[in-house]
Amino acid sequence: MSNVLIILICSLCSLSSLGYELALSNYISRLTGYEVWGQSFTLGVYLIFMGVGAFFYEHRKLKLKKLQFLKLEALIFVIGILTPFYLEITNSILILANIISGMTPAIYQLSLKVTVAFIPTCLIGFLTGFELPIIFQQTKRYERNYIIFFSYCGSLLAGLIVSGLLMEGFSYFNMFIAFSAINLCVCMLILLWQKKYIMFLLCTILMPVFVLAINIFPEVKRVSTYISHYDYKIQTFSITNIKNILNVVQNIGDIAVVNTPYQKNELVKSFKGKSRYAHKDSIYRLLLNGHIQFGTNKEKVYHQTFVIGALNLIGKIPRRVTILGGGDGILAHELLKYKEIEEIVLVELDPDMIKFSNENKVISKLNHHSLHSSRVEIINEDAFSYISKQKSNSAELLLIDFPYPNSSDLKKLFSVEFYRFVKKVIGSDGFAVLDAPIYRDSRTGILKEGSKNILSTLYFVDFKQFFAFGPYTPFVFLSNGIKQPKFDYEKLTKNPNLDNVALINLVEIEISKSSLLPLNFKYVNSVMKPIRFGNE
Amino acid sequence: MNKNQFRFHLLVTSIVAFASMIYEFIFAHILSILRGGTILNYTLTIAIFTFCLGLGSLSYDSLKLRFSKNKVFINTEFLLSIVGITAPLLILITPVDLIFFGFRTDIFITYLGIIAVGFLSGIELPYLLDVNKNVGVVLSADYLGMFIASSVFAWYLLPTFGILGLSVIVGLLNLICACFFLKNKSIKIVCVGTVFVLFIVTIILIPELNLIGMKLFAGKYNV
Repeated sequence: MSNVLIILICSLCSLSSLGYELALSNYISRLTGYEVWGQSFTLGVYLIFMGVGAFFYEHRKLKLKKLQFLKLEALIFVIGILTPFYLEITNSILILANIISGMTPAIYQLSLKVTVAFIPTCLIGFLTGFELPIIFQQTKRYERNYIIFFSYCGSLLAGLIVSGLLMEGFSYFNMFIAFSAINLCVCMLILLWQKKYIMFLLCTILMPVFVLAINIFPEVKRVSTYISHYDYKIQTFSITNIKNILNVVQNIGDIAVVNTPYQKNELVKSFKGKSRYAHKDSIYRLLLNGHIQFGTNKEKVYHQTFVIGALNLIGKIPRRVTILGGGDGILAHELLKYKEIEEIVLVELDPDMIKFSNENKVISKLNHHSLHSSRVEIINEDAFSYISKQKSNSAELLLIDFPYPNSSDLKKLFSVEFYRFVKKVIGSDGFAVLDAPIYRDSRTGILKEGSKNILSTLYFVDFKQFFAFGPYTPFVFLSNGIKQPKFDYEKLTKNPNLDNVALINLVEIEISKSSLLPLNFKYVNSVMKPIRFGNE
Repeated sequence: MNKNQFRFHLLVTSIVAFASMIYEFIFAHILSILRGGTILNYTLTIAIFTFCLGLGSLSYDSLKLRFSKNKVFINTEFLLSIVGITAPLLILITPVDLIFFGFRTDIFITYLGIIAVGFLSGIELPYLLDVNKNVGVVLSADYLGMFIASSVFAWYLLPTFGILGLSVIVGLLNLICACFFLKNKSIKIVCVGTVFVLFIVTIILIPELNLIGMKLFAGKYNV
C-alpha cells in the first residue's frame, strides 16, 4: 500500500510541477510572441532553480520530515493557484504605472513583464528541487531508480496533458487550475501516507477556496485585458485623462478574446472619448498574439490596394485565385466583387479564426460574410505544407497575406524554401503578390534590418520580375515572366471600387540591386538556418 | 578523486547535458517545420524526452552488470554522437511522400531520434553519479548544462550555425567526452586530436553545410 502511495506521490509531484512550468512557458511565449525563446528559456530557468533547490537541500543538510513535506506541497499549491492572479494584476499595474509615468519604450515594458513572470517560475523550480531528495531520504536505496522512473513518467503525462489542453484551446489559466488540483491531490495522498485521516478530511475544506478561485478569475482577466490595450491611447497623465480612464473602465464590454491551438485572437474596440486619437466611429483593432493585424480605420486602404493593384498589374482577371492566410475574409470579399473570378481558394491554418470572422459582428460586417460564399473554398491547413503539395504551374494568382515574421512558425513562411515553393507553383504564367513588411528610413532611404532580410531571401530564390508597389507598407510583386508589368492608370481611375488612386503606387520602391548585392548569406532566411528579423 | 579530476567531471557532466538538450531542441525545431505548431511540438518533444530519460536511467543498472562502467559510458557517447549527426541528415534525405505504416517516414524518424537521444542521455547521469558521489553538485552541473543550452539555442546557436552545423558540432562535443574516458593513453591522444581537427574543419565549413541543408530540403520536396 505504502509503495503504491509513494509511486503515486512522486509521479503526481513531478506532473504538477512540470505542468506549472509548461503553463508558464506558454504564457511567456504568448506574451513576448517569441515562441522558441519562451519555451526554451523558461524551461532552462526552471531547471536551474530545481538544481539550486537540490543543491541547497544537500548543502544545508536539511532533514525534512514527512509533515514538512506536506507543508512544502501546500506551499507549491498556494503559489500555483495564486500565480495567474499575480500575473494578471501585476500586468495591469505595470501598464497603469507606465501610463502615469509617461510612455517608456515598449521593449523595457516587455522585459519588465517577462521578469515579473519569471519570479513564480523560479519559486516553483526552487521548491520542486526539494521534492526528490526528500522522497529519496524516506525510501530505501534500491527503490530510487523506480522513483526516478515514475517521476519522469509524471513529466511525460504533464506534457501530454498540456498538449491536449492546447489542442482544446485552453488558456494558461485553465492549465494552472488543472495542475493545482493535481497538487492538492498530492497533499491529500501525503496525509494518507502518514495515516493522518482527520487532517485528510480537513483538507477538503480547501476545495471551496479552489472553486471560488475558478469563478473570480474571468472577471480579473477581462479587466486586465482591457487595460492592456489602452497603453497606446493615453499619452499624458492629466485630469481629463483620469476621466477618460474611468470612462473606459465603466464601459467595459466590447472585447472578444479567442484562444485557439495556434494563436490568441483579440478584437479590441477603441473607446469614443475625448482622447487625442478619438475617431468619429469606434475603431476596432484585431490583434494576433498581441501584434496588431489591422485597424478598421486603415483596413480599406490596405485590402483595396492589395487586390486592385495586383489585378491591374497582371492585366487580366484570373479564373482562380489562391489566398494564403487572410482568415479575416476581407481579401476574399474584395475579390468576390469581380464576377469573372470563379473560384477562390483560401488556405488558413486556424479553423477557429474562420469561425471567429464568420460569427463576430464587427469582422463579418467588414467581410460581408464572404467566407460563406459558394465561390470560396476554405482549406484548413498550414500554408507551408499546403503549398509543398501543389503541382508546378498550378496557380494563376497567389495572394500571400501573413502576419509579420515574429514567431518561428511565421518565419518559416518567409524562408527560401517557402519562396521556392511559390516559384514552382506559379510557374512561368502565374503571378504572386506578397504582403511583406518592407520599411526604409524616410530620411536616409536605408532599408531597415527586417526588410533587408526579406528582400535578400527573395533575391536568393531569383524571381525574374520582382518589385514593390502600394502605400507606405508596400506589397511585393513576383513572377517568372519576361515582360515587366506596368500599371494601367486609365483603368485604375475608372475603377469604382477604388477610393484613392494615389495610394496604389505611392512609394514605388526601386529595390536597387546595388544595396543588396553581392548577396550576403547572413541575411538569407531558411528553415535550416532561421535568422533573426529586425523587429524581434 | 583529486580536485582537478572533480572539476573535470563536473565539466563533462554539463557538456553532456548541454549536448542532449540541444539535440532535443533540434528535433523539436525539425518537427515544427515538418508539421507546424511550434508550442505543441516543443511540449511534446520535452515530454517524450523526459520519459525516455527515465527509461535510460532504469536500464543503467542492468547494463553495468554486463559491461564495465567505463565501457558503457564511452559507447553511449559514441552512439549519441552518431544518432545526433545522422538523424537530421536522414530526415532531410527521406522524401516527404514516403509512407511507413501510415506514418510519414520523416516524422517517424524524428520521433525515433527523440526516443534514442532521450534513452541514451538517461544512461549518462546514473554513471556520472556513480563515479562522483557528490550528488547535489553533479545534479546542479547537469541542470546548468541544460540551462545554458536552452537559453542560448534560440538566440544564438540556431541563427549562427543552422540545424546541420549545430548537430555536427554538438555530436563532436559528445565524441570528445567519450575520448577523454579512454583508458589507453596513446589512443586517447590520437582520438582527441582527430576530433579537435574535425571540430575546426566543421566551424570553417558552416556556410557550406547550411547551403547543403537547403539543397537537401529542396530535393526532399522536389522543388
